[in-house]
Amino acid sequence: MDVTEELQVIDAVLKGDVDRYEALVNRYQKPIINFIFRMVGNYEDATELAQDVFIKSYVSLAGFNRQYRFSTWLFRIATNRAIDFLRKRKVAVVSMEGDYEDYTPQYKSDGSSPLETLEDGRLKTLLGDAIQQLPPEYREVIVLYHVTETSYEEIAEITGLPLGTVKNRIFRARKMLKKILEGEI
Amino acid sequence: MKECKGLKDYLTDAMDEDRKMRFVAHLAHCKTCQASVKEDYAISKALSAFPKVNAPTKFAATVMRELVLRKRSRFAWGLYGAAVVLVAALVGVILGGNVSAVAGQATVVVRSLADFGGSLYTVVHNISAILFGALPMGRMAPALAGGIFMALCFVFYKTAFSFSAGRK
Repeated sequence: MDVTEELQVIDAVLKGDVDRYEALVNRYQKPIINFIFRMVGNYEDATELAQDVFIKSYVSLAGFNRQYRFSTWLFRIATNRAIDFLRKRKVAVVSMEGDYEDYTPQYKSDGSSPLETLEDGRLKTLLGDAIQQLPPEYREVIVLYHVTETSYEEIAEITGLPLGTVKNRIFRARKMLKKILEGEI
Repeated sequence: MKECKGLKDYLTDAMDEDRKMRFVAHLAHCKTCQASVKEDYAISKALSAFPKVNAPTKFAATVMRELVLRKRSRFAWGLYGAAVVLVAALVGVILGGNVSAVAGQATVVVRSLADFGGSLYTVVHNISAILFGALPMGRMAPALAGGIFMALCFVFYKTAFSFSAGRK
């Protein structure tokens, strides 16, 4: 479904043809669930929140700004919903900003990076856990960029951050992940 | 480990071609930057290769069912609103805009409501007296009666809420 088709579907839904909305749900259910899943770290919560996102999107569809892509708008709702959920859940997220640069990993360095020695499956498992330790504002950009393969520009539109800040946050998030992983190994 | 200048811009694709070429030349002989780039690529690669989860089989159907329920619920509220307006209009027609008659009728209504309230109070009072007399718990009886009343209110509220949300 391209952008023009999406706009046609949106117009039809706004005119009262609710059933057409299912095409948008089918198109975006997987990326939205994956995004929220990596944000909150739990599949059941992710599917429930994703449902909320699609319902909220439907309810406020009349306010959709056509200068953005529908996906941008949907991910903005998903981002807000996920961050709101994380705040309410009050997960003890340790603020890494400013601290991670002073962190010393607990392994003996032989000159090569421990990340290089990890087998692929274990690295992914550790990485999944490490993402959950990132502060939400870093988690959202890294998940959007790497997991849902959203461009820097679109992330800037979704989060409302300047492009430079988005790139900086993604870079810093990867450095935080590296430090967390080195601590795990 | 101190980072070389330009590493961040290189890794976030924030360099123009000229700067990029200069940094690539620097990279060829800087072991520190080589290690950083290698690690950053390793993490990026692992993140991008994360296995994707699938949506539950009936996800779209569940969302659509929820939307239909909401639409029905909004329709029901619209009907309630329309009914209220209709009743008000009907009352207006019946009274025919006669202000003194309306005031008279209103007084009668208020009086009858007051009478009804008084009667209701008497009924509740009598029932309470019977209940308190029947319950052998002394001082606990009013608290128990209050609890039962609150529970009935809660049941009434939940029932009304589920009906207004279009569910039974």
